[in-house]
Amino acid sequence: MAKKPVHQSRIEMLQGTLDLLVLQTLRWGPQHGYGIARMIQANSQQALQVETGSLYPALHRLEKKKFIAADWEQSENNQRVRVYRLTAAGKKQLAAEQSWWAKLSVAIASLAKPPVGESDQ
Amino acid sequence: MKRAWWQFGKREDDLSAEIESHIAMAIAERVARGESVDSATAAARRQFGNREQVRATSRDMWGWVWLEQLMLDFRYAGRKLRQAPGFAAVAALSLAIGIGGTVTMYAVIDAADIRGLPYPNADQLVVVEQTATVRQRADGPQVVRASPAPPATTAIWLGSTHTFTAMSRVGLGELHWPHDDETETLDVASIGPEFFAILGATPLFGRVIAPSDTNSDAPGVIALSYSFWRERFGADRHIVGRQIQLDTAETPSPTSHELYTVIGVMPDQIDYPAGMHGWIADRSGSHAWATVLARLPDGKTALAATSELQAITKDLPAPPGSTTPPGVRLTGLRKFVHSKWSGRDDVETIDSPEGRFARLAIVLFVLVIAMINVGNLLLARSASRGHEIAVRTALGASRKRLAQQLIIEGGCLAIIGGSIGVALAKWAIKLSGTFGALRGNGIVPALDMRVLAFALALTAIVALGTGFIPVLALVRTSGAESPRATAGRARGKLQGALLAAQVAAALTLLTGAGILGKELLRLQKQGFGFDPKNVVWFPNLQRPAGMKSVEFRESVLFGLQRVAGVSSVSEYELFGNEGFYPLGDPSKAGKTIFDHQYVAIAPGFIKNLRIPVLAGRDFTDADYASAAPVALVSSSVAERFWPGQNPLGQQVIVPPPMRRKGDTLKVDPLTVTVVGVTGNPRLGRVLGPAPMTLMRPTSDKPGFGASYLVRTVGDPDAALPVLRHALNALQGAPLDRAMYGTAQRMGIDRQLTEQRVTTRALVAFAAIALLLAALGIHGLVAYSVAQRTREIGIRMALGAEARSVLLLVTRRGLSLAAIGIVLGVAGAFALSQAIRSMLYGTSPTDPVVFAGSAILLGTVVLVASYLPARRATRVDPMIALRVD
Repeated sequence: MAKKPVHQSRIEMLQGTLDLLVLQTLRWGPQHGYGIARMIQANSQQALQVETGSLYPALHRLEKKKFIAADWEQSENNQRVRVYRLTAAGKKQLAAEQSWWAKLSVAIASLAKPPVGESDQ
Repeated sequence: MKRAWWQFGKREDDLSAEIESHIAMAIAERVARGESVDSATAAARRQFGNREQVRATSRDMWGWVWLEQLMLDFRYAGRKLRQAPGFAAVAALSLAIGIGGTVTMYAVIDAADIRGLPYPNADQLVVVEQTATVRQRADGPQVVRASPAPPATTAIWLGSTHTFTAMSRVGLGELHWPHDDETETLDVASIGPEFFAILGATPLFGRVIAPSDTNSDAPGVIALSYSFWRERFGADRHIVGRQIQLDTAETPSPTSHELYTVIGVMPDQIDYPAGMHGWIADRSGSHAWATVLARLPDGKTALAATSELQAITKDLPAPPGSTTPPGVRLTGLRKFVHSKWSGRDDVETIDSPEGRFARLAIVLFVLVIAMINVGNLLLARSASRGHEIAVRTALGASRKRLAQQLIIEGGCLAIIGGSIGVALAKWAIKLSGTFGALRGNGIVPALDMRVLAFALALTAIVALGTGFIPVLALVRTSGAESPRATAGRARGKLQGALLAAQVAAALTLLTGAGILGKELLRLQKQGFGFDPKNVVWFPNLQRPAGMKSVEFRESVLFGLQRVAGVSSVSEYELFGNEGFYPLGDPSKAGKTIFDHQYVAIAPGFIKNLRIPVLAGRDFTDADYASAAPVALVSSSVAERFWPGQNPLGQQVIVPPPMRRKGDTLKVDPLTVTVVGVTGNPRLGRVLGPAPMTLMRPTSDKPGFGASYLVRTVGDPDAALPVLRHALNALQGAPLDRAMYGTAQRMGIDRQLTEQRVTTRALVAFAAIALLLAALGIHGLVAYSVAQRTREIGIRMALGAEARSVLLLVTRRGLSLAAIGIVLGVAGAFALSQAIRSMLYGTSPTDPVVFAGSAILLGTVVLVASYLPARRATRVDPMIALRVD
């Protein structure tokens, strides 16, 4: 009982962040899962290591929500790969997540500081 | 995206392929960087991690994520409720009472008004009875009463073969079954061979009564009911052919017992006449009075069939006590099954479709109150959980998820409440099955599948409704800049409205309970004018042919007195007349038929019933011997006829009793002298005003309306079999249950039971509503104190007095309570009109009760506000200012 909720809540917390990163990456063009992982890694100066165990569920979740769409294609070295691309809904979602992220950053930043009293209700 | 099970396999394959391509790309990259293929492969696989976990997570998401979340929400809700066990208990219990009450009332309605009969084309089934024009009470009007008919009459009906598709006699009787050191009394119906065919019933196995079984010399056969077979024979499939010894008398004698062969077992749903252990053949030559079960042909009306039978019945001799030749009454089987006693005394008014639906409305009202209460409690808690909700929102929980969470918490409470409620209902349904009015009408409520389905649907509605109230407040936080403040305001308004409604409902119920309680106290204090404990009432005994009525009375009084366990026996007869009046003042004669009660009593009646003699004396042997013109009157008579005077020695004119139509004119009125004043005995009617009673020594001609009263030493139920046996012997014939009713306690206790149960239920509801209202006010004020600790601290630091602080934190709660009280008084007026029919001596708008309830509620509100408010006055300014 104790173990599972902890594990779940971690995914739940990561979820929003990873979704944002995936959508952000796909803005540059259609990409397969491996490529997405590599790009995030590269663009964050290797700071963010994307777990494949989170990436694929995240991709499938975003696909289910129709923020991204997927197709099977032939890769440059003639391999069948599943390529994801951003949908119109995904673009809107990306904008929303960016503003959410901005708010969250501010909120967390303010929480990290000691409180300066509270306004009267 | 469509998600269907047949796509599941394809998706799994896709996932595997995707993973493989990922790894292949990783290997290719490593190889390009110069690693060997083997080490690149190993590294890529290691880096990918647990493939199975990736698959499992994706799989969950495809199909089961909603279920997973639901489970999580339930677990979370369970944890939250466990953290506040007091809250959970109060909430679940109040829902349980609301749901339990509603389910119970529905079960009664289901049994009485909804459940169909389990027979094909049941609307063609009718019961034929004979009617007689009689007075049911001597002081009552002439009424047409339907009853079973003697064999001669039913034989004529059965001869009219063109009237119905088929007909069968149905007689009721008892047989005694000695087994395993005890003797069990079985209720059996004696039926003709067509009986089961008319119902459209086939046996579970074995056969039904055949025409040859009804020959006068045929051996005894019995078809068993399902429940009897299951309970007493362990559902033995080889029962057919077994012989059991059954006796017409309780103590077997060579002539009374007979071997009956079990020929079959009927299915469970065949239950007509209700509660039979078995069905035996109606053998020709039987003397049993019986009704006739018949099936109307297609398209034929009951009216047409009635007139056909009427034509062949009208020349038969008048039934005993009747002033007219026998008539015919056809009753639909369903109506017959559920209302056969409705003509009797007060039963009809106690149990009627209107009454049932009114009571369902009351319990539904209570349920709605319980829902509002629980919703309000959830709301109050959601206020204290504002922090939690804000954090969860920040972490990305959608409003939908939060709403789902709140609904699930309400749902958990509703499910717990529903389960307890069904358990309560099971008990209450069992209890209601013992109520005279229901049982008498053959209404047997049961917790069957349909009632359970109702309970389930009700619980689901309650779950949604209860969870929905806090969600209402949540939904109004429409993404504004400061969601918490908006939520607080919306919640505040809603909470205020609910709190006022809660107080109003509590006051309404409290007042209603107060009025019914006062009436019940009045009834109990008023008493019956006699002591009904352990009194058994035998009306309408049958005099054996050839015996004179006086002899019969003597033999019954003498015979019953000698039965073991009998303490005393008496006889009385109620007569109707035009109403007695004091000498010279006919204006004081009875104005309504119930007003005056003229009773001829046998010696010992006053002592037997323990009617108090307030002045003067009881009748003496000399009074009886000389048929002296003397009378006892009840104190109600004395007060009305001779207020402020000594009633003893006064004279009363008694018009002759009306035994038959036109009889009254032939005899001169009687002038009698009052020798004693008694209490006000209520011989039959308990709830109405005390009847004006005049008692005379019984005449030498007891009439049809003579009733015998037996007071037993111990529990009368234990003495009943012996009494019945003795009466059978005295009558020379078995008591015919359907005709005269078995011996029964005087219906008094039953009339009071229903009053008592309704009152207690209402008192319980009112107490819960009061408790919840108090909790609501307490919570509101406590919340307000917690919110304003800083403000209070500042005010006190600035010199505010305790009183003004008290006022500050309680103002809102008290003004809401005031609104609630005004609404509650209005509600109480409405409720008092609904319960008007249950009141006989208490005003439905009794000012003492109304004022008292409001004062009680007001006091509770004040205390509930004061307790948390007091905390505010003890706030230490220094500590308060340091809060946060």
